Amino acid sequence: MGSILERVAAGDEAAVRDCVSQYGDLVWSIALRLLKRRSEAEDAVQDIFVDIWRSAKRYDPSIAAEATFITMIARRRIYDRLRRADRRPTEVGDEVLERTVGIDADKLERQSEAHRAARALKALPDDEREVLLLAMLDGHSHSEIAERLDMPLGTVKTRARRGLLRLREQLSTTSPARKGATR
Amino acid sequence: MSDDLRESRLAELLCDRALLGLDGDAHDELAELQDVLGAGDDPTLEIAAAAAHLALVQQDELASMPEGLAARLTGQFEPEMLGTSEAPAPSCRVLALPIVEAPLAQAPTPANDAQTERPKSRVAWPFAVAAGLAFLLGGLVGHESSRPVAQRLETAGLGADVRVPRPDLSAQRRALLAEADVVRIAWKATDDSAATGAGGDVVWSPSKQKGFMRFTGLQRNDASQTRYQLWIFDQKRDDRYPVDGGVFDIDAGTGDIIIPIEAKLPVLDPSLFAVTVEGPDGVVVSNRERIVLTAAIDG
Repeated sequence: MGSILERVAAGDEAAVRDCVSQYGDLVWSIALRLLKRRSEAEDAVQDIFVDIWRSAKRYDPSIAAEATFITMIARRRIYDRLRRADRRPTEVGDEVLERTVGIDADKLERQSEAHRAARALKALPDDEREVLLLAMLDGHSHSEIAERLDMPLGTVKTRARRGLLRLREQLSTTSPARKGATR
Repeated sequence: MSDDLRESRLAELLCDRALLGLDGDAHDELAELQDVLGAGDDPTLEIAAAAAHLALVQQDELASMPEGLAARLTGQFEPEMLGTSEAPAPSCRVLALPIVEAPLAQAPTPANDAQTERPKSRVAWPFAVAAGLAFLLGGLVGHESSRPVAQRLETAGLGADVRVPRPDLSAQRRALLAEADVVRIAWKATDDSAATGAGGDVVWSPSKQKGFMRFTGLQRNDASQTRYQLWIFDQKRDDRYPVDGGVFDIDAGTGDIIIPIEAKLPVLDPSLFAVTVEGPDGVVVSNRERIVLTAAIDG
């Protein structure tokens, strides 16, 4: 039998429970981190899983790992929610900055997409990684990062984009399964 | 604009989307550029960002979901949801992107994204009792929500928090009442202090899937402390999982307050409308005394 999402897409209700069991805490952790408030995170997680059910048929394991696909849906829904509320997370991520030197790929399943991503993150220039982490993990806008790091907005954008493109390049070159996605 | 500039802007927008998402205008611009350039939607940057996010989140032990949330997540699954996502999913049709060098065009400032459709969701509670009057007597295992209400309007004493042109909800309600299948039920107040002297009614049209709540005398709530929420019990659905009818606030004001119902799922055969008070800080198990109004059909 296929992955959990493929089973969900086939209408296997046991797979629905497996999906929640497997990825519920992951989605909850992402939502709580970005939204801060437990109540809002609960609502968001419910929205995210509705979207997961709706998107399950479009999941292609040759494009992204299942956990990555689910993380991507979670991020989309959470950023939509933040934008609708016209707000960004207010917590400034000091610990995020600390993580720029504390990423441990060995904590992650070897050869997983996350493992490769961690290694790619560690390989980034410090200034690009710093900007990326503030944007991705804590949801800070370019402007907020510029203010926090006391640097021009254009520099923040350039670093973020270069870092992201490097990440993609690293992931595509270290993943045979992803070559179809990068042409 | 030359194709080079278009491709540069496309790359910029795809990076922005991957990092923080796009607002409605930027989303439209992205679609237009993809169309002009004949480029498929490229998810690879989003995938890279998601993989990195995943790696970072997994650096620490994941937080455990609140009690009861997993059951609600599985409970909201319906087979007809499969394949109905309107959001783009990863596709193999991609465009190789150049690294964007400075100077970069200013990206749109994130703003309210009214064009972003919120996925429909059903807040599924495990209720210890069946719907109907048993709801009032049994244990209510609740769900706290702080979702912003889409519209909070009243016919008198209009609140200052409304930023959009206000439709005439009173006229809309009157028009709905002309529908052949509309039901109109008076609210019944419980002994909750917020409901002292409260009244009004709920009107609902099954064919239109539209309805309004009208309140008189319902106690003002402090949205930082508590919020009201409507739940609709549907005989065609599991009693434990009433349909979320929307979160709303009551400001100080005089006269009737009319609030549109925002059912998150189709309501097939409603049996009971219930308004509860929920707290803003993540209460999972609701206080059983915080049911303030009910309106039972055929009862």
